[in-house]
Amino acid sequence: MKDLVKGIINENPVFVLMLGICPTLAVTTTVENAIVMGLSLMFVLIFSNFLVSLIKNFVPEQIKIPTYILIIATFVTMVELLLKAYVKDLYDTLGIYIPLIVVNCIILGRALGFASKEKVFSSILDGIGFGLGFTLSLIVLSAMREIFGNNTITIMDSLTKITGYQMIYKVLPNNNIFPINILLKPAGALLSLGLLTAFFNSIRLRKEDNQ
Amino acid sequence: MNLFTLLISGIIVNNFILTKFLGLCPFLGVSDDERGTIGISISLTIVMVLTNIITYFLYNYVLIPLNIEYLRTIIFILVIASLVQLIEMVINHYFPKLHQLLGIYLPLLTTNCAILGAALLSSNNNYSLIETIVFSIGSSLGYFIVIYLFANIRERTQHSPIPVAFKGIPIALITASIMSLLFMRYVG
Amino acid sequence: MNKFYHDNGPHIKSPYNTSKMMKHLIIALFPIIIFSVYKNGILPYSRGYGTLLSAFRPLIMILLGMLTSLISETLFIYFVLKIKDKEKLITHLKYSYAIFPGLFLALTIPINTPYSILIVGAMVATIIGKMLFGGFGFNIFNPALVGNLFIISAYYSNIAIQGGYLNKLELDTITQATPLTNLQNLNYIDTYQNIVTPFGNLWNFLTGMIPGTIGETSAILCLLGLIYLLFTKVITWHIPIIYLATVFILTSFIGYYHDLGIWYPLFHLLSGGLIFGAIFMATDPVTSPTTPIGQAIYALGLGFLTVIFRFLTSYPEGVLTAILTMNMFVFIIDKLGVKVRFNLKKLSIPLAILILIIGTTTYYVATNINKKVTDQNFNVIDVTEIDNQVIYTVTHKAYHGLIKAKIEIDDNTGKITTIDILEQNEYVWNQIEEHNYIDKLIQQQHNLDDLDTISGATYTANYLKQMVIKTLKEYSQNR
Repeated sequence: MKDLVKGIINENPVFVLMLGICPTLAVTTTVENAIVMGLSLMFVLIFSNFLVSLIKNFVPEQIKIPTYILIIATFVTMVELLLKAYVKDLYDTLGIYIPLIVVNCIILGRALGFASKEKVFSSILDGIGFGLGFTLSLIVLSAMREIFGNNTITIMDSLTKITGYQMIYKVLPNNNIFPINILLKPAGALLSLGLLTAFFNSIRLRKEDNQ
Repeated sequence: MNLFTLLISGIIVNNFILTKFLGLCPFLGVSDDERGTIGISISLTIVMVLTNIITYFLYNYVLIPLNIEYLRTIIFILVIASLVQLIEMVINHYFPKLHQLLGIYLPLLTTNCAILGAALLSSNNNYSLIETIVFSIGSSLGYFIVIYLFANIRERTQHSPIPVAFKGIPIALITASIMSLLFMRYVG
Repeated sequence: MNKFYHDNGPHIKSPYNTSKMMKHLIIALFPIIIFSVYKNGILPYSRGYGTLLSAFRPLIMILLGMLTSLISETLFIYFVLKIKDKEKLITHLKYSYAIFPGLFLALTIPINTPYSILIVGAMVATIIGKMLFGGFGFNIFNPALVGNLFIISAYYSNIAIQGGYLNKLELDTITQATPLTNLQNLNYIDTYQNIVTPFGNLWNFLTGMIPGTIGETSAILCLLGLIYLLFTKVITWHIPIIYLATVFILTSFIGYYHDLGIWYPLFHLLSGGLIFGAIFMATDPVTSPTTPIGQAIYALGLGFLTVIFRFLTSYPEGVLTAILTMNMFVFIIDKLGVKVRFNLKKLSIPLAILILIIGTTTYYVATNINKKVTDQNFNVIDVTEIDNQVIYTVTHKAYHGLIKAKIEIDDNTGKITTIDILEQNEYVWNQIEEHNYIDKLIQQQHNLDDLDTISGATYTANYLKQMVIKTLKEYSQNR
């Protein structure tokens, strides 16, 4: 159970461990993008953790890293092809950040740091936990950026073809201050992540102070 | 596309750190050490140019003719991993002093988004061989400039009374966001 | 626990004596503020524009900026730094220049900036630009400029809609179109007639009766402020003088290359808030180098960057961008300045490289900028006169690439006699030819807005229409 939860709060990959920041900053312009990116990474993480843990005793030390990379790359390619086939415009928006999942520090980090040493079931839970933590963090970040940067929340737009629902909500009225359009630009991503990280840091520090 | 424009855009408009967010892990982790930044930048440039040349040939002369572009991700990352190993061995053997300077940054480049990112961007945009090389050099140069400036700024904020919640990464991100806003103004 | 840490210096900055400096700064700014209230508020009101309240808008904005800064900093100290003791709070505020980010921000934004945006900007300037970095003495970037950068990046269009830099009086009396015009004139070469005269003459630039931000227009009042601040030893001469001299020299070179008189570098010097920025913003002791050599290099860099940003980027606020950019280099420059302090010879190689870079870039700029292109789609390449015929060679953006044409106008009648299409890449050109569209353009040249486009070739026809309309306009404006 602990294996499942630690990836969400205590060892949150985005706000605590600061891993895998590249896609975090780049794709969080709408909540929909964040959800898709998060789920894609979770998919790769779960399966790679599973496979790595499965074969951990059969892989000689020297070729551990290249083997794991190969496994991860295979699953990333699967996700790439799935997205390209079913939601082409989302695939184009996410651009190179889907294939870049392969070098995402989170996945290789969990593979080397956990899955290669622990049991298969724990590894799967670990994957789910970190994947969830990543996805939730991305959703929080993208919500902040989209709400204040575009006055909307887009939960389902490009995916509408598949699910049939369109969920775009206008959250704030347009006025002189909002939308702050630079929040949708790279500078805004850096600023939002910085502010949110500081916010979560302060919560953590207050908890530590109280203990 | 004009080569000079490509070079300049790699530094400003498509800056790997401030615009495309590639290669951020070393940026945030190591960037308060000035010598380290020179080490990272040199290794990055060498590895990026060499790997991009090889991935260019692989993509255009092997993957496309055989119609297996979808294996791009797997092939690229394997090439990068092996090449980094190879380059490290060569440098260790022939230029031991350089190897000391580069330290641990060289092997870490395998999982650096910047290397794979540059290869993917070059193949996405169908750059010619010359364009790929210029693009790599421009991007590495842009990377170096930002990371060097940043190291100096962070050295200065090392001993500032920054609020505890912001110390370390958050203030670095905020500084980077101001720099990013600034870089947006250099566009002609 | 390591009690001793090695601070990489320089150790020469001192945040003390600040309340005296604050007083002197406000005195130096006083004439500028009064002038701004007069020019942007009372003068338009006296000519019948706006209400009594709007006559004091400049003052309101300045006070609002100062107040927002002060309140933001107080709240930050109270809640985040947890300094709740009243006396400590007041001492802290007294020595921290709390009002200045907001004050300088208000002075460097357009008059028509909505109050809400000013408030947001002042909050960003104080909190993000200053407090998060550790408060007074520890910020890297000039806080007012951080707020300014935020405002112009995020809210440019909101401000332009409200009128931009032009107050109500200027809107009616100055004949050029866009509200942000004054600064647009900075990045191209043109005649005195075209650049300066719409605003009066250079004397207007000196006194400050030109459009601009709230505090930056009056060069003479800023210079008076400079003399006062030098006299009271608040700032040293190095940064402002070298900065302004560099801009003057570089723009003189560019002007000389294009056979323009001395008015051209003077125009550059007196526009775009350069003098205000050089005296009040670039000299901020926290964000500028401490050694004299460092300051000289800093000012040299500022001058160079201002010139190339004005000419090579599409954003005219060269001063703002230049100062923030050089802020990033201050630490490097300080280290260099300390190293070189007693050994000037070490400086010669980097200095030579610097001058080489500046020289070649300026030469590049001089040879590559040309006459103003107001419309990006339309370009007059050549104008020749042969016996009362004026022949324009023009290009216009088209559906696929450009259309290049030679348009002959009879000088006696002012009418187009022939249109020769030299180059085009349109996919539907056969339609244009089938419908004899070119002849129709000539026949209906007075009434082109009513001329129908061709269905199946609407874009191309439209672009051709635009090309002819703009050529006629160019002719009538210049004959």
